Amino acid sequence: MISNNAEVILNAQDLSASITGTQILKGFDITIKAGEIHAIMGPNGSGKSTFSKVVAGHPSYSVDGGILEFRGKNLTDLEPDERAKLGIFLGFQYPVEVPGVTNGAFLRLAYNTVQGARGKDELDPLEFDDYIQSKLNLLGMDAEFLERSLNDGFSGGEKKRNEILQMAILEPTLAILDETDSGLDIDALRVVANGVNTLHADADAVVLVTHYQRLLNYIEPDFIHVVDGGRVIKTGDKSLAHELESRGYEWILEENRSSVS
Amino acid sequence: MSEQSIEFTASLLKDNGASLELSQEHWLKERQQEARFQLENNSLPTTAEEEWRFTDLTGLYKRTLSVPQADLPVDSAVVRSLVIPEALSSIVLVDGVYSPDMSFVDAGKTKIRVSNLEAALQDESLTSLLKDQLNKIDGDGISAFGEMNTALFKDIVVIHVGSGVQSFETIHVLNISTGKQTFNHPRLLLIAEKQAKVCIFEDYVGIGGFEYMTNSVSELSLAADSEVIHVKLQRDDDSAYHIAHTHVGVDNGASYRNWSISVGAAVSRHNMVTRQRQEGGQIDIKGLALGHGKRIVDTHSCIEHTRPHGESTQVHKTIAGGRSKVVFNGKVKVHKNAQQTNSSQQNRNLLLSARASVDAKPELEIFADDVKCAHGATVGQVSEDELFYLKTRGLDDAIARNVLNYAFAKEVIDDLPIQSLGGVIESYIKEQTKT
Repeated sequence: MISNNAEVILNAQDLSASITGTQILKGFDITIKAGEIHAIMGPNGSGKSTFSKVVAGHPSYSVDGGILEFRGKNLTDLEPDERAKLGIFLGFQYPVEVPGVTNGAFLRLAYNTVQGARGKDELDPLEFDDYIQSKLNLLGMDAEFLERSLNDGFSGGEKKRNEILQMAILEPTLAILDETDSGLDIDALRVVANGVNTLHADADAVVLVTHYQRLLNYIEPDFIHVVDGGRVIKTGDKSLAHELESRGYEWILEENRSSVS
Repeated sequence: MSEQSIEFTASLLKDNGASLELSQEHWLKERQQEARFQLENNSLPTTAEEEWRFTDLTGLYKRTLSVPQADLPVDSAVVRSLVIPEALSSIVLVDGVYSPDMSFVDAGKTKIRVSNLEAALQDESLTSLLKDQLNKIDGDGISAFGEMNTALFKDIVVIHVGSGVQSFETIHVLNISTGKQTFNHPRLLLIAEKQAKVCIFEDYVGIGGFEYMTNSVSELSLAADSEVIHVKLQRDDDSAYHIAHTHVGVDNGASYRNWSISVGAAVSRHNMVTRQRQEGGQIDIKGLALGHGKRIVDTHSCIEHTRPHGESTQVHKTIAGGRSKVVFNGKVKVHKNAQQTNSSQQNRNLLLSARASVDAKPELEIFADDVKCAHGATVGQVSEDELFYLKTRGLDDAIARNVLNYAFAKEVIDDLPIQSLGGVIESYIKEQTKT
């Protein structure tokens, strides 16, 4: 939902970032306001996944220039956990398997850490069981999930549901979902999309980083950004997605090249 | 030989060993004297010996240790807090000597015979068991420290599980060390007869905050088709020296499952020899050793397949933090006629600090040609990907690392058959792997 008076949640201006000396983001601009859903699209290697990692604070990337602000606060010096406490959530393209960490205990620890930092009451194991049940229902997950090791041996669909489950309990102001649709069959995609739509509220924003238009049939974006060469080269509304679906990326990349030269 | 180790040995040998009036038990006296003789002629090891290359005991040999005072009072509340709720019987030894006041054996409920040396010698059948089995489970694998235990033990815990007595009731053998600059030599003999089942929890703990040395020998004999669960927890005082021997003999169709957890002491060494004595048999060993502070924690294990169709698995995990030194030497020996042995060994080491060290040495000696023997050893650090993932969920660096360190160790204790120990060991791990 677009509202002109809404608060700016994420502001990136002329952002550049590199990994082991190689510059990936080269003047990335984006402004995301409360209530909005944005899609970031682009070919492989365009820098869209890097952008999501940089916002979450991945230690391998260094920000070399530009502005990166969350609700007016400079993010670049903050640790990933500090960003999470502020309300930034990254749904991983490849959720990490962590054998030996029990999913349920981990979710409670994350919940208590993040919500505690926001001044909310911590929940004991019994209270947390009650709390999480409704979230499990939303995502069609069995409570048995909580007994397993975090993502360990999960199917692709289970991992992505577990990401949305974490999003549900951490209640982020900004959720960046990196290729959440990859590896999902159509039923799982519906469940995940329904979860995101249900959780999204006027006060928060969602960013979908995706390669394909398919996800956007289920989660309708307000803005679509096409990324290439480490920066946003075109921004449009949802009709842009359909154009991309029928014509591919090449025409935009062409258009951009000719305008640059 | 070093001067220091000779002097140290001599100072210990001033002790006379079992203080009982055992003159009528010539065989026992002879065995103790034979061990004393061996010890006088073979001094205690130094780092010049291959088997002790990584574990320097010079600090121990410089100490002047003495015989602990007899009957030191121990606060019964402390004992109560240590005894696990699952224990149907608890045998408490204070500085290596059985304490009847603090021990609890429910004779009405248990069919398992539990006895100290004095009582065992008043019983004909237990005496003959002692005669047959004491110091006989693994005759040639005994080290100088093992000889020292035999020469100087004051008492023996004898556990006899009769033929067909099937109960996984837990017997908690709680070794408490109280002494300042003292040594003790706890001795345990467990005999499981045919088709017997038992769960034994061997526990070492220091309560005085003083330096001492524990030098234990535990011998376990498993007759055909018996099942023994054996959990050893070493949570000695941070300044203590802990030297332990576990010798296990496994007969046809028997199953031996061991968990050995080391979370204490300044220097610890666990020598473990598990030997198949007949065809078949299953040996499963899980180990966890935590290196913390300046601790040295050394595990030398040997699984010996001497006959065909034996199976063994071993998982040994270590975490080395601070300036600690962690040693694992895991030998698997498959004798020439031990065909169709199926054995696997895994050793995983997690290094937490640049100043800690891990010496891992898997050693496979295979003389049979129709066997399956798998092994692997790794040394690694906390995964950066896992760390980042947890941090994006709000966990700060220290907590995320602590969670991952515990997760690494958890595999070893996940299926611990004594439930209440899970939480106890979890807190040791979390406390000692904090960053």
